Amino acid sequence: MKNSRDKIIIGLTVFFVSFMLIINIRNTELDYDFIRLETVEAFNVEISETKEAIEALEDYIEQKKYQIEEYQAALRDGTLEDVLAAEVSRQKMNSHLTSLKGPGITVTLEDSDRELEQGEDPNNLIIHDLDVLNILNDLRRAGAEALAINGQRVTSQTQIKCQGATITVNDVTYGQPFIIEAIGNPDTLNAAINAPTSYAYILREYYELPVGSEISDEILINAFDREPALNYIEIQEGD
Amino acid sequence: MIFAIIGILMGIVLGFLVPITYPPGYSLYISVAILAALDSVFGAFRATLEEKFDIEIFVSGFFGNTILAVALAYIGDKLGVPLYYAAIFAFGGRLFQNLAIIRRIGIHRLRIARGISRTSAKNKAKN
Repeated sequence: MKNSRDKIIIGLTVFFVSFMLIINIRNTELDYDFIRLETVEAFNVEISETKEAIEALEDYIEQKKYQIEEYQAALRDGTLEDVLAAEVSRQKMNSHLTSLKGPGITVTLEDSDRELEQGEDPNNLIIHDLDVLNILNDLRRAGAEALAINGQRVTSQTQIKCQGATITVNDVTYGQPFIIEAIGNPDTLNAAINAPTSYAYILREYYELPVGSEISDEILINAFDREPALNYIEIQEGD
Repeated sequence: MIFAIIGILMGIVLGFLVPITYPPGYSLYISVAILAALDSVFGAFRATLEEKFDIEIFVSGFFGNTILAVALAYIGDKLGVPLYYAAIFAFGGRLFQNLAIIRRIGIHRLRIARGISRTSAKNKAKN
């Protein structure tokens, strides 16, 4: 060890050795378990799902930031009223309180007029409330933004109830045919009625019920014509 | 000496702090590499005690031995023959040899130092 260069080199090599030693000790101390490939797969799925959720949250944050910027810009320019009015109309669209229009489809459900087969349950020929509910669900999954049954707006409080051969929607009873109108992307909505995995396809192909669907460029959906019941709900504090 | 001690301490501290992990399959290579590096360090210590230490020989041996040991282990893995035994025996054997020589030199020096102190004590007693 003659000069300081040598000393530094020795110090570095010794550092290297002890560093590797500790890393190796720590690594072999780790506990390894045998797991099945499905477990790895499940963890991978979980990881990717979590990543997606994080991305969605980041998008949401971006969106909120953009909104805040918009408000601040409006405050500076003195156009806050316009922005708030736009916000109110957006919320109105979401709240069943205005009549809406837009592209979408009309689905017609009717009882079948075919002959009953020997020993067959006559219920097979009738449209039930469950059929309507399932088709509504299919339409929502396909991205329906507004829905109506026989002109009755479907809200978050809408009930659909079987009354013999009729169906009660929003406390109004209708006989068949039941006409469901949906606003949304017409192609995906149409697919939700005609795709082989859809409920409507099963009704049409296996029970031979006449299920019609028609794409339209402009569907009109009325507002919910009564005040919604707000007896029990309150706004959470801090929201 | 101070640099060496600082190096050891920093290596230990950083080794505990840095969150590096590697697949357990590489554990063997790293172990063999550590053995080769340790051999070089002990060899350097011995050479220092014998006062024939040469930094170039040390550094080239340090990296050369390490790389050779890892390469042997890798080739052995590929061939299905545990060639890393060669590295373990060679470096492990030399490690003990180096340690034995360091021990001898140390004890020898200790005896000289003690002898001097004893003789000086005798001298003092005589005086």
